[in-house]
Parts: sequence; structure tokens; C-alpha cells
Amino acid sequence: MDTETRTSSAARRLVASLESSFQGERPRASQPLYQCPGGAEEADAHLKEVYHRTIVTWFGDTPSAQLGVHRLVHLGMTSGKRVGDWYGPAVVAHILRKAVEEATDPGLRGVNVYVAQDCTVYSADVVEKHSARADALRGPEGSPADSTAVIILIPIRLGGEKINPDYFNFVKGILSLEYCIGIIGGKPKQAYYFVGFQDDSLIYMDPHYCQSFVDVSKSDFPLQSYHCPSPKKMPFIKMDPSCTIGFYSRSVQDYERISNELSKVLQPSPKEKYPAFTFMKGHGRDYELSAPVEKREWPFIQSTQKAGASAGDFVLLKRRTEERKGVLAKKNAARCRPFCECCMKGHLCSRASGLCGDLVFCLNLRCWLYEYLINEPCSPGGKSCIPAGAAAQHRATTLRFNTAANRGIDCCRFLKNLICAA
Amino acid sequence: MSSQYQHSIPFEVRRREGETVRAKYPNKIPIIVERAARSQVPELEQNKYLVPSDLTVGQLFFLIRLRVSMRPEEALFFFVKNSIPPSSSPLAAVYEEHHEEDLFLYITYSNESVYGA
Repeated sequence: MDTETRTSSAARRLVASLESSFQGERPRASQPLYQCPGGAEEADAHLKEVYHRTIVTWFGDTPSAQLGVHRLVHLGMTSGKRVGDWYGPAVVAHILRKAVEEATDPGLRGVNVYVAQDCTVYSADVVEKHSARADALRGPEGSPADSTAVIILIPIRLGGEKINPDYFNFVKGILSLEYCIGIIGGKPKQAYYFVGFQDDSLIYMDPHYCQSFVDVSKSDFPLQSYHCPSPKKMPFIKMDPSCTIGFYSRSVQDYERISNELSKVLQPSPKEKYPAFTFMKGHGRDYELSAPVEKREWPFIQSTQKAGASAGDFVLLKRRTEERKGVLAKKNAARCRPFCECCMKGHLCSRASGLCGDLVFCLNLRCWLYEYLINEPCSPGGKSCIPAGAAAQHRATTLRFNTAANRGIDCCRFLKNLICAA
Repeated sequence: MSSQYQHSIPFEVRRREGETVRAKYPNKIPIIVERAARSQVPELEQNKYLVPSDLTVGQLFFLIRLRVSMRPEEALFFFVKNSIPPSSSPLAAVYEEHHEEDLFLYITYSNESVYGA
């Protein structure tokens, strides 16, 4: 039961820090509570009770509840789920992230959610999340609560069709970690919340239990139905391979500790060849495919046709954005609608320009610039495609592109090239 | 290992093709990407791919996502012999360790399972 207590202590820490962020946020609201008769201890207990109830109200069964089922289902629609659809642990992770991001409650502003992409946790992205809402958090007296806590959710799959028994030790290791807040998972077709393990059994809480509605807007609503009186056990082998692991990181220091401890658990033993997920330095976007494009000479539109060319009956995959453009272009072509060569969006405004041969661009400033840049080398005879007076605008736009930290903007690079060449 | 491709094409043919491709494109890797059995993901139109050997698993995620039209948000998982290859490792490394005797690397892909029935 050691693990269970450890996991529950992690959960308690989460609640405690939620409370502390809450405290930092609304010092005035909590002050009168300290004046309760009966000394500091009683006041403390009373305060805890207030926080406890506040947290529970976030999960109330009303559309206005910040993390209530209504809100989550509503957010699920943006992920392509309809009311009545079943959810998987990865979709749920993203829905939770959105719900917390959109939450307006001051208590929830101290928390952020990070969801790993393709079984990879990008360290810089997590650190960024730690500081994301820091400004909102800083108390009036400049309290040291300058870091946003981050809940790290890692959707993984521990085997193809069935769970791979090689991962059992990994799951045990994860659940033994102090910072782990449990695993969203289940057995096939039935969702559970795994909180710990004992020998070869997982300890879980089962949400499949009808309970009567609680009106959380009342001041003394009953709390007992929000807690699980009897956790259950099931053997590891019954576990569905699809699950989402959760970690709670209070600060950047915490995150460093988590990644250190996790790297020990993740170290592949000779039996399990690969870790279930990995940590990587830097931002996720640093590893995206747009990175190695620099080498190419820039009127690369011609090469889109070659994307996915085949050798024999093989499909050649290329590490290039042109692959993306090629696929998008094909899709758009299939729809028989003109699409812009730059943004590939297919929604051309009425004033589509077609200066460069058969290529079409929308007159969105970025696309238009792009067009000009492709067009430029194909009109060496001095016939400039650029309208007079646009040079100043160019400079302004470069600046904007640079500052907007907008990724994947080819224009920026092209402009740089152009400026360097000039 | 229940690969449809392996079932449908005899070993000798596969091996011969594997050898030819390896000889012809020494810096490319022949892989077979197949959907895991009973998975809800869309099927790929083609299963045979030649990838640059320095392509990482993470980048392959990106390319396959495009081909099955999945958003980055939707979970996609790769398996090589029923375990998850780390997204940072280049396919060349995965290939060296896990290619079959026919000189192909077999990757299965799957999405998450939903809970409920």
C-alpha cells in the first residue's frame, strides 16, 4: 500500500498547491476566515474546507462549472467528438488542457496543462508552460508564487492490440514516483483511474457508479459523493494498452527532478527494448519538418509535383514541407477550387493575383509578398512585379514577421535571403 | 508478428526486393507501414515506403499523419515488434536493430482506444 499512499500524497500536494495559488490570488477573500473563533488550528481547518469546496465546485454538474462534464463535452466537440461519442485517454488529455486554458477562475490560473506530442515530452515547452501564466499569478505583495504549476499529461500506448507485458515494470515504476498523479486508463471498453499498484494488481477508482446530482452552488453541499470510498484492484494483464500518465510539477525545479527520476524509470532494460515515452530538449517545433528546408533553392514550387514519387512500387517519403504542400495541394485540387500557392488555404479572396505564370495567390499580405519573391527571379528584365511604394511596407512586414515569432513563415526567410542578396 | 504484407507475399520475393532496394538506394530504408489489427485509424493507401535513413521516428509521425489525415492532436502510435520506438531515434538505428530477414522494417500504427461500449 506504500505506493498508494505515495500517489495519494502527490494528489494532496497538488491540492495544497492549488490552495496556495488560490491564497495568493485572493488574499482579501480569505482574510475574514482567519478571524474565526477558536484559534489558528480551527481557522486553518476551516480554510482547508473552503478550498476543498471551491475545488469541488469546479467539477460541478452545471454548464458554468470550469471543469464540469458539460464544459468538457463542449470542448470535445472542437476535437471532432459529438455528444454521446466515447472518448480515449489522449483526446481527454487535450480536452483537459483546453478546459484549464480557458478557465477563468482565479484559482485555476495557477495551473497549466502540458500534453506530450507523439510520446515525447519537450522540456522547453514544459518550462514555457511553467512561466506562461506567471503574470496573472503574482500577488499584490509580490509573493514568490511566480511560477505556474504544470500538470504533464503523456498519452501513451503500451502495446499494439493488447498490453505488452514488458511494460508492467515500467508502469509500476511510474506509479511509484512521488510526482505521479495517476494514470487515466482502463480495461478494454471501460475507463478507470489508476492510482497505484500492489504486487501484480493495479489499484483503481471506478467512475461507473450512478450518484445523485449535487448542487454545488449551495454553501454546504454534501461532499461525500466526490470521493471514492472503496478503491478496487485488477490484474495488470487486463489493462488496455491505451492510457495517459499524469505528473504534477509545481515549479521548474520540480520538473527537473521529475525528468531526472523518470529517466531512471525509462532507462530501457535489456528486455524492454524501448522506453514508453521520451524526454527531449528544446521545443517541439524545433524538431518539426520545416527545419532542414533551408538548403533548398527557393522557387521550390516546381518540386511539389515530385512529392511522393515512387521508385518501383515504393513511395518515397521526403523530409520536407513540400510533402505537406503537395498533399494539401492535391486535396485542394480534388476539391476543384483554386488555392493559394503560399498559404494553401484554398480560400482565395476575389482579388486573387496570378502574376507568376499559372500560380495563384491570395492577396493576403504574406502570400502576396511570397508571390513577389518567387516572381522576382523570373523577371530579370527589370519588369518588377512589385508595385511602387511597397518597399517600405516590406520592411515593416519583415519586422512584423520576425517579432510575431510566427513559425513556418517562408516569407521571412525569403525576405532575409533577398535582403542578404541585395 | 502478423503482417498482412508478409502473409500475402512469399519470403523469397520479399527478400529479393529488399536486397535490390538496399543495393540501389544505400541511404534509404525500405519500411512497411501497416495498421494494427482492430485499430480505428484510417488505412494507408500504400504500405511500402522508402525513407531517408536519417529521418527520425518523430518526423515519420508527421509524414504518416498527413497521409491518414490526422491532426497532431489526435493520438497516433507506432510499434516496432510491439514496442514504441522513441521519436528521437533515426530510422536507421531502428532498422539496424529490428529489420526482418527480408530486409524490411515493419512498423504498425494505431490510434488510442476509446473507453465505452
